[in-house]
Amino acid sequence: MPDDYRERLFGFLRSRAVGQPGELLVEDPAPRPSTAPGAGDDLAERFCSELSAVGGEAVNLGAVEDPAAELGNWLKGLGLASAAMDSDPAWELLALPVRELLSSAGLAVDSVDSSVNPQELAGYDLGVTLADAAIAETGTIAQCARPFRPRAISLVPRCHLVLVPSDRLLGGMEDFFEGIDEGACWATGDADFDSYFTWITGPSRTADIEKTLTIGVHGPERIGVFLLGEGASDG
Amino acid sequence: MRPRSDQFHELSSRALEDDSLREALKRASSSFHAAKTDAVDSMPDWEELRQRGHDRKNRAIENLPEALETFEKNFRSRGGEVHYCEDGASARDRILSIIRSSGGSSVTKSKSMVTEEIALNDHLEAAGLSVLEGDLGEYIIQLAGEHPSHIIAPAIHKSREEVAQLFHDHLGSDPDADIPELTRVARKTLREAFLEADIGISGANFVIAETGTIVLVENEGNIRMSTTVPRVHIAVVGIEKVLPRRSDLATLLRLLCRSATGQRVTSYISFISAPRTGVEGDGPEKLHVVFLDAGRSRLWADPTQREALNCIRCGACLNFCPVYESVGGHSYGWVYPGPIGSVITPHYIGIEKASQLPQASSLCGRCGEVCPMKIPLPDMLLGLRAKAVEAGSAGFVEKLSMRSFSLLARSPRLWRLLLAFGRPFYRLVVRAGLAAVLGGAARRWSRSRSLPLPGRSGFRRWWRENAEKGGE
Repeated sequence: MPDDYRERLFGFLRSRAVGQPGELLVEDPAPRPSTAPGAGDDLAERFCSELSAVGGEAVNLGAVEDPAAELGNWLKGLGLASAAMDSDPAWELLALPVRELLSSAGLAVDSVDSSVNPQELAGYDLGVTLADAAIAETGTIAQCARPFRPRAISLVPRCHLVLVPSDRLLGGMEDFFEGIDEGACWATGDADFDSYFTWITGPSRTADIEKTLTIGVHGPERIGVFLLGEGASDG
Repeated sequence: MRPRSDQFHELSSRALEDDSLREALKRASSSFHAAKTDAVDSMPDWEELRQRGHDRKNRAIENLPEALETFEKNFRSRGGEVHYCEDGASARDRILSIIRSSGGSSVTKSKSMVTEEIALNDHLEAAGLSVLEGDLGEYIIQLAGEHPSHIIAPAIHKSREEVAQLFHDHLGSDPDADIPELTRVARKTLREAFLEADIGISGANFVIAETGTIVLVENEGNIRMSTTVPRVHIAVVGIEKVLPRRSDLATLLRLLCRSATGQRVTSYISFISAPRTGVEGDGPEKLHVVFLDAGRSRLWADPTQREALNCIRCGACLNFCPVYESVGGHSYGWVYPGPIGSVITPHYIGIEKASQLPQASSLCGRCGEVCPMKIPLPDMLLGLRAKAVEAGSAGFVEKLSMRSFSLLARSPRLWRLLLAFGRPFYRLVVRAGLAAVLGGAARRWSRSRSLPLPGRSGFRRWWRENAEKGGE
């Protein structure tokens, strides 16, 4: 079908243009609002308090004595049977034995990569991933298009476990967008933020019936985010 | 959706007599008020944020042709397709032809006011496709065969009991189910549909010119379902939704989420610039943006009303509007209710079909104060009233009384004369009841209003006697 309306629309809009040519994309750095974390703020603490406030579960493993026991206990508490873990090569770099902890918590663990489809993923109780970035201001984790991680792994299993390497924990939203624009270390390599990414902040929720908050409608009903301390990964 | 905005008086009168509707509206508005007030109070620089949001959005609107073209170029460069449609009919046809050429038969949809505007569901169903709304509120409305009554909470007019009965009738669930149980029932039914769907249709909260990105804001996860599982994702987008740069989102998302639900951010925000990449196993293989004009370019060309296109559909002006709170969304007779609906509907469906809407306001000014984009809604409503009169909406009596008032107000001598003789008569009328004296139209007017009894002497006299004393 020919797109004849495009020409007419642009013709009309151009005939009445009001802006200045070239001003559309002129840089206009956003000032940080006072609610965004500033220099000297404890980002891990802020992240955990923001995520907890919206019903997510957040733990700063950098501040606990035995990170493996902490994560292991959380996993046991879920009482779930199966887990799908993405094939992020960074798992191998972590000091924390995540796969073993999943198994000892009684979960049957399958490594999944991009070939798994959402229908298959829906059969798992828990999705296990690493965050590509996290935003302390809002308790948000960000994940982009990756060859080893299906988009649906954070969506269709009933629960979601996310680990955040310490160098990926950012302050405010501006730090996130500027990081992508400027090619920060977490936004390069095969981390493809230019094709697709998603922000996840707490569990799936709705208030569509009588404005009553209900957790876990289409997405996971529980999300646990564990911040890794410095030295917990090689980068 | 066939507009019935010319029936605002009838629809709102009926709504005012519906006690369960009024209770639902009251419950919703107090919950919305509390959430938004909290979210704004915890943001000391809210005013600076509003100004910046206004400026950034305005930058895109003022440069609309360049913004759309830049989006299109960047979106196409990553494999997406862009379509432009003049009106609802051409958009419906275009969407159907995209679906036909992909060979799909089942559609899941996420909440989108634009697709309501073009009555997409009816069209697709008539063509033999199965269409399921994924948002819980929209799903309720779809089962009930109704239309949304609020921009962000479509089923706000329904009680828990009504939803339980509806689910019982259609899905066989417990007729006394509580809200968590109803949510589980919907999750289970919709989950099956999501995993089978061929086509996902969404709207867009923003599209970004600089990066060619569709931005979708939600809490449930239904949008992620519709844009992740199906082979084809079609986003239906008003041409005004464009923002200049990706970094503008820090400001716009703060404004939208806090104003809509009082959240810092919603549970999920998707930023989609491309179909699945070669190395990915899920995500849509085909990605389309269908831009809809349908009256927007006409509105854009009117400099006194253009800023209405800055609206980010947060619903705050509805939640704080005393008229909306009393009559609900369906009274407005079309897709967009509340103050913003009263402003844009006349442009989209024609002022002659919506001349009552700009009157559906007490001009209290709340909508303008709570609008995160600083849209001067009260001024626009006044401007539209003037346009409606030009278009011949005012009757003989209204014109005559306005002319007389205008004459009196411009002549101090006449004004004083009328006050001197009019005051005793007016007191008499109020005492006796307006309807008893005047009858007819006055009876209708006075049924829900009472006139205050004026004092024995007027302000002018009080001023003469007291001005000398100064400031006491």
